[in-house]
Amino acid sequence: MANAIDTLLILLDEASTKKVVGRTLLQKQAYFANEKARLGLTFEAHFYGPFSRQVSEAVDTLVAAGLVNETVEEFPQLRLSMWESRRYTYQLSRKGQELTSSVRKRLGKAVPRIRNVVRNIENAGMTRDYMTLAAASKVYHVLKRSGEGMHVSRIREEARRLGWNISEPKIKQVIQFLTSLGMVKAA
Amino acid sequence: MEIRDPIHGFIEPDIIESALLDSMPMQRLRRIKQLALACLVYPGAHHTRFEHSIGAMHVADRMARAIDLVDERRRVVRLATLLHDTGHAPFSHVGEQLLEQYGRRKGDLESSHESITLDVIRNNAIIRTVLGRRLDRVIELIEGTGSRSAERDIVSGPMDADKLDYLVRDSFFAGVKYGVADLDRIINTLDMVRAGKNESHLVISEDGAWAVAQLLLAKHHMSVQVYRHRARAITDAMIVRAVEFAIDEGVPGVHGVFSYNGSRKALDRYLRCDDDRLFRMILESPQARRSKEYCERLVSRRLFKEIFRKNIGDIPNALAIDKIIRLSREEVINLQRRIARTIGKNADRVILDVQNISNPTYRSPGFRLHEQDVMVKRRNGTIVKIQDVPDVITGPQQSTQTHINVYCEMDGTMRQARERFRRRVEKPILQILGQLGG
Repeated sequence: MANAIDTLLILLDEASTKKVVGRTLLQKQAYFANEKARLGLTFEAHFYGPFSRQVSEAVDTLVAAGLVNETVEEFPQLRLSMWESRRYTYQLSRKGQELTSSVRKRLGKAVPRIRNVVRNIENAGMTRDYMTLAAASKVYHVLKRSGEGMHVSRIREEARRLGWNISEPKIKQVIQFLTSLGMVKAA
Repeated sequence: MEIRDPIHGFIEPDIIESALLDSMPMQRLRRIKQLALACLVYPGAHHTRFEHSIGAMHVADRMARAIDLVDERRRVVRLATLLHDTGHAPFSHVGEQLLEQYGRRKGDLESSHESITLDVIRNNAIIRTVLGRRLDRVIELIEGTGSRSAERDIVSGPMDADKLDYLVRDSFFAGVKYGVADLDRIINTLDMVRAGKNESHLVISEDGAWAVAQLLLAKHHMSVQVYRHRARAITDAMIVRAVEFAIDEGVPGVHGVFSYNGSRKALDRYLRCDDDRLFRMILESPQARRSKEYCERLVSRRLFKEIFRKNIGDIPNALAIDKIIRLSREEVINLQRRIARTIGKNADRVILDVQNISNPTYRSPGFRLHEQDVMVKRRNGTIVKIQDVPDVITGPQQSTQTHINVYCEMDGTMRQARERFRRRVEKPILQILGQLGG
C-alpha cells in the first residue's frame, strides 16, 4: 500500500487546483500514473474500468491519518445515471503538504512522469469529464491485455467481453488522448 | 448422508462431496477455528472452518438455483465452495499475517490461504481423483481466472456464498445479533446479467437492494463488535507474537509451517498443522521460553491489557504518521523496546499493534465486502452501484479508522489502577511515536 499512498500524495500535489474531485477520477489518474511510471500497483477489471483496491485502501488510510481532507457533496438527481451521485473531493491537508518533499525524494524519477499524466488529463479536459477518462482506461486495458494492435470495432467487442459498453466514436476520441500520452500508436 | 447444520438446517452432500469431506485436508478444517481465539471473548465462538465450508456450499447451491444454473455448473460451484478454505493456516486469518511475514514463495504467487488452497486441490491425491474432470474448472473458479461469470461471483465475488455464510454463522456462534441478514431475500433477488458472448455477472434486482444494505451494515457491526473487538485484537496480537518468538527461539516445526514455499514438502508440513498442534509444538518444546509464556497466557486467558489507543490522525507530526503507516517488523520491535523502557515494563511483554477498521457503510470498505463491487439491476435495466439505491447507505460520519494500540502485561491490577497507568503512559508513548518523524 506504501506505493499507492505515495502516488496519491503526488497526484494531489501535482493537480493545478491542488485537489481531485471524484473517486473515479482519482482511481483513473492513479491507473495512468501507474502505467506510465511503473509504480507497481495492481488494477483489476471492474464494472467502471480498471480498479485498484490498494488505491482505494490508501485513500482511506490517508483520510484517517489526517494527511488528506475529504469532503462529500450529494447529487441525488444523478442517482439513476452513470455519473457519481455522491462526489468526493480530495485535497492535501497541512500535514499532508509537509510530507510531499520526502515522498518526491522517495519516488524520484517517477514524479515527472506522474506530473506528465496529470497535465495531459487536465489539458484534455478530463478532470471534469471523468467518464471519458474511465473509457480511456478501459480501452487501454483492452489493448494491453491483448498485447496486439486492434481495430476500433475489435476493441469495442473485447471491451464488451469485460462488461464495458463503449461506443466507437468514444473509442476514437480516447485513442487520441492515449496517443498524446504516448501509450498508443495509431497505425 | 444428511448433515444437521445449526444455521441452514439439513444439508445433503452428494457422494462426491461426502468423499471430499472425508479427505484429510477437509477434516483438518475441523481443527481450525473460524475466528481464532475469539472464543476467549465470546465463549460460544468455537465454530470451525469445517462447518463454515459445508454451510457455504449450501448457500452456493441456493444461489446457483436462484439464477437457474444448469445442473453440472451448479455441481462445480458446490465443489469449489466446499473446498475454498482448505488452505487456511492455523488460527485462520491470524495465521495469514504470519504467512505474509515468513512465506517464501517465489514469483508472483504470494503465500496466502487462497494460493495454498489451490496447491492443496492440485496436489492431494484423493481430492484430485474425486474431482476428476471437474478439477480444472474448480481451480479456475477458486483462482478467479478465466472469463468473468456468475459462477465465479458465487464462489469468490463481492457478495459470494462465503460471506453470506460466515456473517450469519459468526454472529450466531458469537451470540451477537449484529450479523443478522435476510439471506432468503438476497438469494431470491439474485439475477444473472450476460456481458458479451461468454461472460456473465451476478447482480441483485432492485428489490433486494435493501437486504444487501442490511448485510453491509451487519458486516460493519460484526467488524466493530466481533472481528475487531478490542480484547479479541489482543488475542490475535498475542498469537502472532507467540509464533514470532517461537521462530526466533528455534522451536522445531513452527518456522516450517509459516515459511511456506509451495513445495510438496512444505505443503505436507503445513497440512499437518492446525490450531491445537501449533500450540502443542510450542508448549511441549524445551526451546520455547517467551513463546511458551504467551501460549500459556492464551490457554489460561491471562491476556495483556490495552494501555494506549490513539487514532493515527492524532499524531501531530506528518513524517511520524508516514513512518507509522510503513513500519517494518524490526522498527516495531525497536519501538516496543523504547515504549517498554519508558513505561517500566519488560519489552517481551509489550506489543505495538497498528490496525485499520473500515466502515463498509461509508465508502470503500475493507474486510472483503466491497460496496462498490455490488451491482444492482434497476427496474429500468440500468446497472448501478449498491450505494446509489437505498438511502440507508448514506455514509455515516466516520470512514476508516487507523488505531495505534499498545498492549502489555498488567497481571493482578484492578481496573482503576490500570486506568491510572494508562493516563500516566499516554504522553510518553505519544512522544515516542511523534519522534519517529525525526
